[in-house]
Amino acid sequence: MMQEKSLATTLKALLYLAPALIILVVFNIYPIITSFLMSLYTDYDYYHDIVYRYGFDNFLFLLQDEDFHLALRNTFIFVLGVVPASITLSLFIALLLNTNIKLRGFFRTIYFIPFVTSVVAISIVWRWIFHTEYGLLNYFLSWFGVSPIKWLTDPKWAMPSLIILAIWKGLGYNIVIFLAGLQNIPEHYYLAARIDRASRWQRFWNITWPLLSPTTFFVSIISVIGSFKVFDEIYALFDGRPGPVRSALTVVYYIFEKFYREQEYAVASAAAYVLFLIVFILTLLQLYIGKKRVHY
Amino acid sequence: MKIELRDLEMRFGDVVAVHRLNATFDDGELVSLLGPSGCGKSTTLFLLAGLYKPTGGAILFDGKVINDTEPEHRHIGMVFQNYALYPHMTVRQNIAFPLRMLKVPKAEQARRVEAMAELVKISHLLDRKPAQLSGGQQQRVAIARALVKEPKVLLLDEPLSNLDARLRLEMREEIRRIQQEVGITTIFVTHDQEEAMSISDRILLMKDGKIQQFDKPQTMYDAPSNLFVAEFLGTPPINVLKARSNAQQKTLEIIDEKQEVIQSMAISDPFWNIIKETFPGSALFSIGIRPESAHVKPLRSGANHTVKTHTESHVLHPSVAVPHQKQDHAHDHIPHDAGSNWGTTVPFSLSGTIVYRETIGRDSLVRVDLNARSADSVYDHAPPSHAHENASTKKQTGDQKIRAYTSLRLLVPAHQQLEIGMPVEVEILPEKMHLFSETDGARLSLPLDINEPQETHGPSLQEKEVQHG
Amino acid sequence: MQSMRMTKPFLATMLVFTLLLMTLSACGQNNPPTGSSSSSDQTKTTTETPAAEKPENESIVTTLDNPVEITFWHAMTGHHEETLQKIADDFMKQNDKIKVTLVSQGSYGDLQQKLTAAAKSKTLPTMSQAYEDWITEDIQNNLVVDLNPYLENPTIGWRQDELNDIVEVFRNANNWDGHYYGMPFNKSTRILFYNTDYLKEKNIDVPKTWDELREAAEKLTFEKGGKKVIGMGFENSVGTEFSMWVRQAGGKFIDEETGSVEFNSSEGQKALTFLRDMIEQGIARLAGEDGYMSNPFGRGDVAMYIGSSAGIPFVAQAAEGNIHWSGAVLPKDKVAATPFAGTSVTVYQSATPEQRLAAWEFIKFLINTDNTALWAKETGYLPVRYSALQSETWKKYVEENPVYGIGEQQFDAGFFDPRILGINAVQTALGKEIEAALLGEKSVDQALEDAAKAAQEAIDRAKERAR
Repeated sequence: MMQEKSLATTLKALLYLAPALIILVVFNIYPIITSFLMSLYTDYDYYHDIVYRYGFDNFLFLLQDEDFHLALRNTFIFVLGVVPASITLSLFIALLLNTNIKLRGFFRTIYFIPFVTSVVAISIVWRWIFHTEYGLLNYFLSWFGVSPIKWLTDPKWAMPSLIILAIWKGLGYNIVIFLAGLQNIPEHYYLAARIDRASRWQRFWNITWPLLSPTTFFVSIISVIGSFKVFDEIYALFDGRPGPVRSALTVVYYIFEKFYREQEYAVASAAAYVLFLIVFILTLLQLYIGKKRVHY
Repeated sequence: MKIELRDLEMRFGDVVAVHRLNATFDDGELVSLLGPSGCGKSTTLFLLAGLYKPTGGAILFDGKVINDTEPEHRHIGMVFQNYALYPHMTVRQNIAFPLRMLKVPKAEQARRVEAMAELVKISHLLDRKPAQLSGGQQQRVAIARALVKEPKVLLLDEPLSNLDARLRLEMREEIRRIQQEVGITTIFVTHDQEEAMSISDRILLMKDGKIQQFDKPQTMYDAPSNLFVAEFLGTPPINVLKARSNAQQKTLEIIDEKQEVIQSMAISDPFWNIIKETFPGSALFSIGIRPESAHVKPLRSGANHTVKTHTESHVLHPSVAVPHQKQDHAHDHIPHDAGSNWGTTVPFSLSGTIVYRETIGRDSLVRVDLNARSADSVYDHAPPSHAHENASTKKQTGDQKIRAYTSLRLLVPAHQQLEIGMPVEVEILPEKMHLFSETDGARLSLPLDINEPQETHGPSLQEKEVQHG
Repeated sequence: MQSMRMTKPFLATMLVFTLLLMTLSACGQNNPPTGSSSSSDQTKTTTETPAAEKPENESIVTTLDNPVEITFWHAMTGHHEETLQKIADDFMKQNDKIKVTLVSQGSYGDLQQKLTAAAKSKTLPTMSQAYEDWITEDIQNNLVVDLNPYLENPTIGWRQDELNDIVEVFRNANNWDGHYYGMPFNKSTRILFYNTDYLKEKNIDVPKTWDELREAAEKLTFEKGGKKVIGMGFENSVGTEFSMWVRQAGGKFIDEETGSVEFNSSEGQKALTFLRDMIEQGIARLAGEDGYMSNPFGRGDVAMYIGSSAGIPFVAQAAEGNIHWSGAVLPKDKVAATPFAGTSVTVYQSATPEQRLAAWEFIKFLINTDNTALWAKETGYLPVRYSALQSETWKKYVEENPVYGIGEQQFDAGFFDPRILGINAVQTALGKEIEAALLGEKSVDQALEDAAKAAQEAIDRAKERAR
């Protein structure tokens, strides 16, 4: 099976890789490069592709643009609000689903539905759930004497509402990945641990958690990247606005506004590039931590 | 610790994995649970471990019923088939794990881990991860982890099945050594009869969830309680011939798959009486003959031999041989003179042709066809070795089974001049012949019952073979 | 285990990326000095010439010898789209050389995004619906066709009275320095909707001034059968319609000529305070999570609201079986001021001379007296010609459906929002600050000051960009 590396085998490999590579280059790498270049346009004619001057003005603009700061702050709050909670919750549910409960398949389907449903449809339902007067959530809360919360119209509650929606929506995917990870842990480790007198809790911390770490690691990277790119949920949940008083403005929403609504193509590119760098650095950091902490 | 199983039963839905098991394992004893896959041996082990809860009967540890005791509290150590070493922990952490769970002080943990590592000879590997170890080393770590908390029972679930042949030999000696050093009651699950024979104080042989025989290895080999036990133990496996008793002529007729008689053996009166008492009228039997239990002698073509074979004519003249038919039972062939000597040394005798020969080194394996009409077409020349392991399992194909009933696989001295195509006479001592009922495979009148059983369990398999060679 | 196999190449790929990007950024930094500053500044001055002054289009095609195909992008859906298709079909029956292909692009937002992308990739349609501020941007980028040569052409153009037949406010909205770059198509206005049952119950006349509006809202905020009714409602876009409130208060919004922001004035403060106070008092609310006011109004949760006349069919639908309702002209303060919104039709320079001619013919047909009346009747938009407003069919229709007649009563008070660059950024900033003030997050003074500052920055920046 093993072949010597040669020009022929390399070419052959390239041929196999070509379809994916071409798609990757055309739709990912090329845009990344052009958007980087565009972020340096400071004087340009967008439609005719004429650039008169390059520079860092757009980045300087971002540096002092309050809206961009707001977007960054909101994005970080969103990521911090969503990722740990989503991972904890989905791991917990996956652990429950991994035991021999009745209707296991049914529950798995239920939890996976949000992932395969369109964001817009989900958001419309959640807009109803979050409705101050007619919403399900406030109705439930009223049983406990909680007075109606303006989930979607109070700037203080808009971000928590968005986070709740995002956690709920991401649950299904994470659970499925965690379930796969859990099922990859051979049963005999648990048997051995029981014989070794490990309690349920000790088995979780000594067997499940370390052996699940590659999965947890994967889920956390995917979640972090995904959360940094949040956009659809905002657009749909707040009806095409970034929440009341822009309280749910995130970086991608900011990019969208700058690009499509304000024709600030270069600023949008610069913002996109800042986001790219943030995600990139965070991912490197995660990989670095992962190398130390993840057991394969 | 003494372990008792009382009417132990385990059902998985409609499937009965363990059926009314009764056995007692003594303190410090090494017992093998042996049987083909699916026989319930691993289930029994898991019941002992507490990983399964029995659906009937009871398990007693030192006289106390522990049916509902969780595995955590049974004071057992267990080695899994694939060792189940925690892959993210070092060897040291693996061995220390049970101690950590018991909240043993750190210093004592270290001391006990070191001591255990020394016992299983892996002190130099303590800081490696399991993935960096060979199979045998992993095995030792697994044993160390199982023993470090000083359990009262050690359970081993097919611990050697993942090792190569040479390592398997080494490790089974090691397990025996460690077990005897520690003196712990040990239950050892295996499907390998040779392994079980070599390591155990006693073997519990199971099939379809039921005990077949629970005895010392040699007793089991010498006096299998049924055809299954006889077929399961021994390499190469025991030969089984189908036979029918002929009351009129006081013969045992060897028959083939079409119920047609190939050869007849005259039977002496004492033996005949036993058969008659047990089975009035004509009855079917299986005759078991171990490969080392017969003596093969070349027949010189045309020689005027005195051996009481019934069908020498067709052996001598295969070209004119026809399947023996009932009306062919000639009176003049009945060996009246041999009868009086039953139970002493006069062997039974069968004739046949060498159709296959395989050199082992220590001795040779030959296959003697008792029905040699057209030798070449009946036997392929594939070495029978693959049949060794499976001889007594259901895996054997029907085709092979049929052939087995009309031929004998026998061990002969390495240098004996036997060539393929050579007509031979096969002599079998009556006390080396096992008779089993055709209906349920149960052992009939033990030859040992007739000849006072010889209390010579000492000689090993090899020695026995040499004797007979 | 799988993920281990992926992380390493993943890491490697990421590293390759950084290297790649570092190299690129190095290029980016090095490049500008070599090929830009001096030389490109010159190229720039040539393209910089304002489109309006460009001596292009002097010769145009006025006859079609061969069949021609034109594409029209729009954002109409449902019955609106069907009506548009019907007009196009009628047009093609009369002009057998021209084939019109209508392409619906979804919402206005989608349409704008697709036009932007198409302009970039040079795949613009022959013509499209467009807001005037989009057209301003397009003029800057030399993308749209000056319609004057067609308009003034003796054979295919309009006489002066034909041009003047277009409603003035709409006509002016499409005129940049004397040049027409678009023609009005679907235009709507703001009107006051009110619940006739509630007004009758409380014995209130339809408010005509701000004071009356506040008074009515106070009285109309009451419990009705366990339901809390709120007097007045505003759309979520109240921030973007702030120009209307400032003008009604007698103030100015943004000067289109100079681009100077003028709403941070006493009038501006008065307007915002008026709105803020009503909400604070609980006698007014925003549409909020209901999206558009038509829903809570239709449910009877709100007694009155100010919204687009294009929303009439939606109100009718929501009110069906719930409430009785009607509409009126907007209440005024110092002056009456009513914004007119909606898109015009514009033609792109990417079109061939023949296509431009065909497009011009189609525009003429689309907004002729009969068709603009038909369009208005079928969709709830306003007729864009005086002759259509005067026509018998329209008059009869308005008699039967009085709410459709409100818009035209406000033509004299009509204005359109400044068609300046950066207006979107202005609206974003304004929307945010007004909302903050209305929700009590900021004081009126602070909000107006911040909004004015942000708006001015946005305009200056856009100007700078387009310089």
